[in-house]
Amino acid sequence: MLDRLRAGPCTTGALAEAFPDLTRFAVMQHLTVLVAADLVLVQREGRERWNHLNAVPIQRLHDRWVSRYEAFWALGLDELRRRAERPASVPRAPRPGARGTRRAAPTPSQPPRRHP
Amino acid sequence: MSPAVDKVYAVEIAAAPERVWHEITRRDRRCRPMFGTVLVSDLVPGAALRYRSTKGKHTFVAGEVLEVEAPRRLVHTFTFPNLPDAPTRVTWTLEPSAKGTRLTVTHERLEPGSRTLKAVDGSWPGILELYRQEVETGTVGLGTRMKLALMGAMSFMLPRSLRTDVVEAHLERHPPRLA
Repeated sequence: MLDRLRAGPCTTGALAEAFPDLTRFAVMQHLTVLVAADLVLVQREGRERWNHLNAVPIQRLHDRWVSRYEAFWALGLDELRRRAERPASVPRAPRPGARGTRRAAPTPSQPPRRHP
Repeated sequence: MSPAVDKVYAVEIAAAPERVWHEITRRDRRCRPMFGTVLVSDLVPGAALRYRSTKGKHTFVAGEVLEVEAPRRLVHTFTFPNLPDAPTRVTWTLEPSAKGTRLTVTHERLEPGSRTLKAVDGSWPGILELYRQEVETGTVGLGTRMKLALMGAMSFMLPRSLRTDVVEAHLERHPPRLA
């Protein structure tokens, strides 16, 4: 029903016709629930009842799920800034407890690898 | 039935209508819910209404105030100056409700299939949700703030047609009035 309303506002009669398998009563019941959830807004024009999709609660739901990843994003950006702001000349201090000498400074015969 | 489309959007906000009205009509700083633009208007019937960039260099939305009834109702015309679509009408309604305020935006006279319709229909739900956040918490989500910062940084990419001087010259010839 929400998909149908997404295409544009619809009168209750037209909505009932779009769902021939449902009785008009069942359509009305569905609409009542959607109105209670603020997903459908009703505007009356004369004897007609126009049903509009209200996407604001859907937006909030979307925000709530997406915001879980915002903190992660911010952490990533902060790390990026930290790395970008680190002076290029200062070599990275060896991590305490780093394994072996695999990450030791390159020997003269072995020029530092540069990324292309 | 007229060929134009009307759209309605509503949100419940836990604050008095006066507080919501203040946020919607504030002109002392940018409106984060409105893509971080600054509202420029005297907010009296007949006055011009613009949503501009912080420094005023670009104008994103132009209109004319039709009705002001603080803190209940604001009606204005609405055009995107860079789109050829006919002016539309926006009505902000603030009603006291059990939770505080029911904020409804009715956007009328949208042409079916127009870019204006597509743009506003994609934007109003987010704008209303952000007004709720702004009023209830005093800020908007981190993701929104990051998007605003990004948009500010990209402003040099905006088309010439959005520059305030270009927009005002265009509006001089095509005032944002309803047909």
